[in-house]
Amino acid sequence: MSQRWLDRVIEALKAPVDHSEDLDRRILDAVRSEPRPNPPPRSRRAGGIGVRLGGLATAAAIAALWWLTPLFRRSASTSFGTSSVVFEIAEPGARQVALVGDFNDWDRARTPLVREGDRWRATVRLPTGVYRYAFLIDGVRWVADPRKPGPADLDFGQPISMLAMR
Amino acid sequence: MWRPAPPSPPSSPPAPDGAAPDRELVVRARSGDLDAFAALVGAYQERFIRYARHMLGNREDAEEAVQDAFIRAHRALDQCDPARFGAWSYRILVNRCRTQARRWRWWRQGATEIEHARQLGVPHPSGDAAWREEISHALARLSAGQREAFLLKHVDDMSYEEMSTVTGVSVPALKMRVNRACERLRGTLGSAE
Repeated sequence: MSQRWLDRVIEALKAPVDHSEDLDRRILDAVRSEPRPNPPPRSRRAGGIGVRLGGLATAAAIAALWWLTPLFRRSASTSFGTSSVVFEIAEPGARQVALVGDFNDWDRARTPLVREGDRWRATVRLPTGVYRYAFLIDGVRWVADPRKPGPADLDFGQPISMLAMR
Repeated sequence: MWRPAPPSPPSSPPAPDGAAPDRELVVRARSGDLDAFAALVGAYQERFIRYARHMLGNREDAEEAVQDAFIRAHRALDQCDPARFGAWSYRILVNRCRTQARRWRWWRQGATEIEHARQLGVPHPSGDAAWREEISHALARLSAGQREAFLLKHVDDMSYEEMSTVTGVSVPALKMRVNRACERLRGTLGSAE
């Protein structure tokens, strides 16, 4: 492709495109209507209603792995009761650690971990479902559960972990 | 750092006149300042809608993708490095467009509609309008990956490293996609010139 010919194509594609005049208002109305923070309230399942397909596919794959590999389950840093889950992470230098996930609307204030020596710990009761979660260190650094690292979140590119409760 | 505020170059992005830099706006938006988030929307909206329109082929889907991207960005502002809001939010948009494209397969629909219009004898546009339609049709014939790479490289003026950050695709793979996109566009549009 000659450069001149390519330049013509690019020039046409760089031209502004038309869109609704009220698009920014619609965006801000939608933002205003939901509380902040936080991220993606989606993969928690409840009777198969209204889940996002991309997240569900990832969750299903992780859940299948979880179901089929008891060794992996035993080695994880998250331990299970019938409905309680212990989340813990070693962060000796942290001043505060919070648990954020689908189960608490990614709200950093709702599930703080408690320091126990070099480790931080919180116990959460969860119903059956598949959940994404991460630890928030000192309010700024997001980390996946080191012993249950999952894929980066599709939308936000941040490390997350997956948890299947059955 | 690149930020989508046309037509500024990616390496030295001046903030719009009177506008606070992204970093400050993100920090304020995190604390609940909706005006600050509105300023971010205003700074990025035009470029986002252009990318989405070229990726998805119609206004409705493009607006839905852009709206969804901004809403998700707002929800997750705590995860954003304030100095990199542009690349971070663009990544969200790219993923929204991928999801939309998988849902609707617009390029097939668009090609069918164009063919249908021709069969009905709908007058073909002339001049610039015809050229834009031919380009749109040619874009629709690219694979989604090729179209994505071509638009980010040549229309949004990103470096390959920035593209890799936004798409999660390796630099060599992106270079290959851009080259193949150019070859295919030349093949499709060659007769239109």
